[in-house]
Amino acid sequence: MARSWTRRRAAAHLGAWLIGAAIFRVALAPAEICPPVTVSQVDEAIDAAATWASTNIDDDGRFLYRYDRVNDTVSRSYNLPRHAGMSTALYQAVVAGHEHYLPAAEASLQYMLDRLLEHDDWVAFATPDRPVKLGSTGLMVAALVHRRQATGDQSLDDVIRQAANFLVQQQEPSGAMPAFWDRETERPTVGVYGAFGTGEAMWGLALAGLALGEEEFVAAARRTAAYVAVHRRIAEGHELRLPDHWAAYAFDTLGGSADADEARYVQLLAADFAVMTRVESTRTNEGLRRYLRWGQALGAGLGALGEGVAGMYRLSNTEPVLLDDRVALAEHLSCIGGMLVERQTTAAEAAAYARPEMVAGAWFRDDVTQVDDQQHTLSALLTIREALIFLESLESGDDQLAAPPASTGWTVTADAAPRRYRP
Amino acid sequence: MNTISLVTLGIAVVNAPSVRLRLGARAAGVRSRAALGGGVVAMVAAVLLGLVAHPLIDGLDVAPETFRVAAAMIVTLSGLVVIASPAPSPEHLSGRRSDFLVPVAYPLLLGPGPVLAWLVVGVDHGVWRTAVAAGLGSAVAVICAGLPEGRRSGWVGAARLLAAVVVVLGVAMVIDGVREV
Repeated sequence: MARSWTRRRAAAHLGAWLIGAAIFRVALAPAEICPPVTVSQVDEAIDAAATWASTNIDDDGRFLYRYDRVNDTVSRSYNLPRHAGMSTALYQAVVAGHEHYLPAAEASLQYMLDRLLEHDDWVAFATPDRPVKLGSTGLMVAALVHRRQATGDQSLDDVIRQAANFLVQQQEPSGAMPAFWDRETERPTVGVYGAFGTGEAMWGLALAGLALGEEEFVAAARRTAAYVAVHRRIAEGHELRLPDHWAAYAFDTLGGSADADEARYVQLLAADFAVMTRVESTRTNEGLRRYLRWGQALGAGLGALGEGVAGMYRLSNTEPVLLDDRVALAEHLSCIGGMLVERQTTAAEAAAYARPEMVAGAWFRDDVTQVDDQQHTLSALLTIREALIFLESLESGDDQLAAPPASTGWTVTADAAPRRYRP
Repeated sequence: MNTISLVTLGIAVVNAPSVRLRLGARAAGVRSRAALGGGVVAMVAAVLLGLVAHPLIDGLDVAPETFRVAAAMIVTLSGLVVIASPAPSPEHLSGRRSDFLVPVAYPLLLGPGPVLAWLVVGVDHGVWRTAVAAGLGSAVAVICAGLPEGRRSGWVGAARLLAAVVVVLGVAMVIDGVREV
C-alpha cells in the first residue's frame, strides 16, 4: 500500500517535472539560433544591399521607398530621415572601400541639397509640404561628414556647419531636442520629441564638431549625451530605456562617456541590445514560437539592432566599461550578421518576382520592403564584417588582426584625411 | 553572485523549515535518517547538475544569460508559491528505507527551485561552489529534520521568510541576466 503510494507520488511529480521542463524550454528558454556566417558572405550581403540602394534610385536622387513584391506595387510615400539614413549608409560603404557606390550616394546627397530650407545662419533638409524634422538634418550631416571622409572634398563644409547650426538652435538648455521646427512660429516645437530624432541629431552634431574642429558642436552633442543618459526616459515619458542605435553611434563618435552616469547608461544600453539580440535569435516565424516569441523583426529592426551593437562594439575600443564586453559584442554582431545574411533576398529568389531589381538584396517582411530595411542593415553589416575579422583573429591568434579596427567613419578627427579600411 | 549571496541562496532555496513541516510528526529518528539520506542524494544530484550545467545549456543552444533569466524566473516563482500557499501538509513517510529517496530527496529537496538554482550556480560558478551551496542547504535541512515540530506557525513563518529571500535573490538573478552583455 505504502509502496504503491510512493510510486504514484513519484510518478505524479515526474509527470509535473516533464510538463514543467517542456514549458520551460518552449516558453522561457527556446534555442537561440545564430546561423554561422563568414566574412565573404557578409561582403556579398553588403554588395547586394548597396546595389539595391544604388539601383533603386531615380534621376532626382530619390530612393524607392516601399515595394510590395507580390502585388508589384510601389508606395508613393516618402520619409526624409530614412532618405538621409540610406545616403549615410552608402557613404559609409564608400568609406569602407566600396567606391563604386559613390555615384548613388552623391545623387542621394544632391536630392538633399536641392531641398534645403535656408533660415538665418542655418539650413535644414526639408520639403515644403512636410514638417521640418530634426532627424532629417541630423542624418544629412552624417551623410555629409562621411562624404567628406570618403572623398576628402571639403567644399560642402559650409553646408555641414549651417546644418549643424540648425541642430544647435533646436537644442533646449537641458540638452533635449524637439523633433520639429515650426514654420509658423519659426521656433522649435515645444514638448514634442522623437524617439530617434534626438540620437540622430546628437550623432550629427558630434560628427560635425569633430570633422570641422568646432568645439561648439561637440559641446552641444555632449549636452544631449548627458540628457539622453540621465533625463530623457523620464522627461519624454518612456516606460523603458529606448534602444537608441543612433545614441550608440554618437557615443562612439564622441569617444565614450563623459562621467559615471553616461558610462552606466552606455553599459545598460549595451545590455539592452544584447538581450534583444538573444530574443531575436529565438524567433523563427514558425509553429508555436511565432505566438510565444512574435514574428521575426523587420529588416530595419534587425539592422537597427545591428547598428546599436555595432556602436557599442566600436565604442568598446575607448570606453573602459565596455572593454571586457568586446568579445561578447563581437559575438552578438556575428549572430546578427548570420541572421541578416539568412534573411536577405538572394538574386535567385528575386528572379521569381515581377521586378527582381527591386527585390534582390532587400529584406522583406510580409512581402514588403522599405528603404530603411536596407539602410540600417547595410550600416550594421559594415561593422559586422570587422567584428568577424576580429573573432577570426582571436581564433587564429593573429595579433595584427586583433588590433582595434580602423574606423569606417563612425569616429572622425578634425580635417581627417580620407581613410580606407582594408583588412 | 558573491559568496554571501551564494550561501544565502543555498540555504534559502532548499528551505529547511518547509522541509521540516513536510516531514510531519514521525519519530525524530525516522525523520533524521530520511533527511540525512535525502540530503546526501540531493547534494550528489547538485554536483551532477553543476557538472552537466554547461554541456546542457550548450546542447539546448541557449546563452548562459538567457538560461539564468529563465531559471531565475522559476526560482522566484517557487519562492512566491511558498509565500502564497497555505502551510504545507506533511508528506507520507512510510518508515521504509526508501523514504530518503521519495519523498525526501525527491521532491522535497530537489524541487524545481533548487534544481534550477544548482544549474545556474553550476554555469556561473562551477561545480564546487554548487556543491558548497547545496551542501549547506541540505545540512540545514538535516538539522531541522531532527528538531521537534513545536509550534507549526513558527516553522511556517520561517519557511515564508526564506521564500521571501529566494524571491529577492531570484529577482536579482533575473536583473543580473538581463544586464549581462
